[in-house]
Amino acid sequence: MADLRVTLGNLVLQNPILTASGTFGYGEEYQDFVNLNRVGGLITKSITLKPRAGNFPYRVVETVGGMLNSIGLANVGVESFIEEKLPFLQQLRCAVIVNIAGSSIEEYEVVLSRLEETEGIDAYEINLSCPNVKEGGLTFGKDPRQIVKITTALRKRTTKPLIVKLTPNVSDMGELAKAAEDGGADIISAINTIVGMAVNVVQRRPVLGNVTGGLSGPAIKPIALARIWEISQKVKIPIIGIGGIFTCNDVLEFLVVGASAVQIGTANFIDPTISEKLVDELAAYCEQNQIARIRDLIGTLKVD
Amino acid sequence: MQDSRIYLDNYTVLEKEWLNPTFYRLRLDASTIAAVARPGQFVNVRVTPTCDPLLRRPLSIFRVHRQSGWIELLVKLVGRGSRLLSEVQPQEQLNLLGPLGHGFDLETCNTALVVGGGIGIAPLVFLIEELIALQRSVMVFLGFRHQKEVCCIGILKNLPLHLEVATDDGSVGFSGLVTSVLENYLQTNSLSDSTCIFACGPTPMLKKIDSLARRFSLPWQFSLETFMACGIGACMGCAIPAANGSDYKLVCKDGPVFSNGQVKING
Repeated sequence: MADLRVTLGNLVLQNPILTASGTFGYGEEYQDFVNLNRVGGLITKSITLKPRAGNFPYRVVETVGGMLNSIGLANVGVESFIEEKLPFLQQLRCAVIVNIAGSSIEEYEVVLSRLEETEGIDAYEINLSCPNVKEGGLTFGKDPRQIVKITTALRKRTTKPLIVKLTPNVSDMGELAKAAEDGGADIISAINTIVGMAVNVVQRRPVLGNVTGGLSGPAIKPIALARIWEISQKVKIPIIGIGGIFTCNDVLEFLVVGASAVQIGTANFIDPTISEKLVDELAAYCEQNQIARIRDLIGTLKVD
Repeated sequence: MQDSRIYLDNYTVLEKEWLNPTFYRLRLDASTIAAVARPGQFVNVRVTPTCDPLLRRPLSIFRVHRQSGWIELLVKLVGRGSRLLSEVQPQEQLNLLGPLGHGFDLETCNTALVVGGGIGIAPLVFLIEELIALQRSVMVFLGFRHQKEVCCIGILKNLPLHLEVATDDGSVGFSGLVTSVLENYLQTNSLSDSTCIFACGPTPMLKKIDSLARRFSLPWQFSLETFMACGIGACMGCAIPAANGSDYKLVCKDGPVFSNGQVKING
């Protein structure tokens, strides 16, 4: 059996397959389809201090090879999360990563500190990149100085791995990643969705209630790979790759470019079993190609 | 206790039949789904094994035959997804996720007024068959644009129910809106405490039924649709405004059948 374990700073995963925030609910929604103990880890929906109802519909629309969403960080809020959702997650053997969003540095701090009082969370993913909510972190997420500030503030409140999730809606993601690294982040995750739009010509109105949304799915994979390459040139901390992954080959592309692990997002909607399938396919690929350790593939891209 | 098992599997297409120039019926060998499905539930169907089109298509369960182990879907040709699905041939397989969502509640209803508009008939035939099996009194009101769109009459005409058809152009049955036929029925018949309205169709039709229901103090249950992704309550994409105006309901999980007082019907 090939060794699928990957180590991202102080976060050790049994394999590099994680499920992306916002596409996997609170985990329990997928328990009938996936043996959650077999994936590398699970990342929750973004948790905010107070419950959020989300954006006005429509919230999703299909596009060629992808989909736009503007969910608007709908979630139960940190207290209900701890009471109603966390107990299920605490039983799992995979890494449990809680995604946090907020409208101010203080809100991120309060939510993280509250979660620090609980058991069973292995890491935090800090959402600095939701494109659909004014207060969704993007206010900070495009400004390197703000990223340093918020990462520094949160670093003081936890010794657990801090993953900073970055937006691709800037000209230089390397600069943002460097800021997160300077602030003390352990890991970068990228990319969040790309701002996009769909129009109803008959009504001459945007399809999404929020006018614009975030594009995800296979359509964004080439962009994600290029951005991860860009980030890997700028920082030393490990990267979790996200963006349109559907197949084992997609996973391998991200690893070769420099991601130490990946997140499966939109693909969960089409095949709710896909995350576990990819773990099996990755193991089979390693067997067939005599790869003893999956981590030996990370960052092996040759560009000369 | 209702069985809430959800299946994800490939199911063999047994039959495909065009019921009119744009509606087609697919029968699938799906005994697992047939065994637990309730009227009003839906399945999320992959129309291609590739990523284009990307998302599954949520489709109402049109009919179920538990003994034979088949389910049927009624689909209207509207875009690329429904066109690809129309090209499927018997013996080929389709990947289905379901049954999903909450179906119709049949408990408190002794006299059912079932109203369908166009392809809105899709979840209603299973409902009608179940209501008749429960020996309820069933009045069916179906609206179509024109004679070419009229469908399902053959299935319904041999059942013990009262059927009224309306077409926009009067080519079959009443000339005008199906809601006018319903309104006339409500005005001229005595309504019992256990009369209720079940409906599925275009939003203006549902809005009109909502106002009639208020006027005649009748409860309703509507099967609603919207853009959807996961179908299992994880992505929160299929939200519609709740009746209270400040919250949302998920069509996939809280619905697709909603009753009066739960959601806002926006025209």
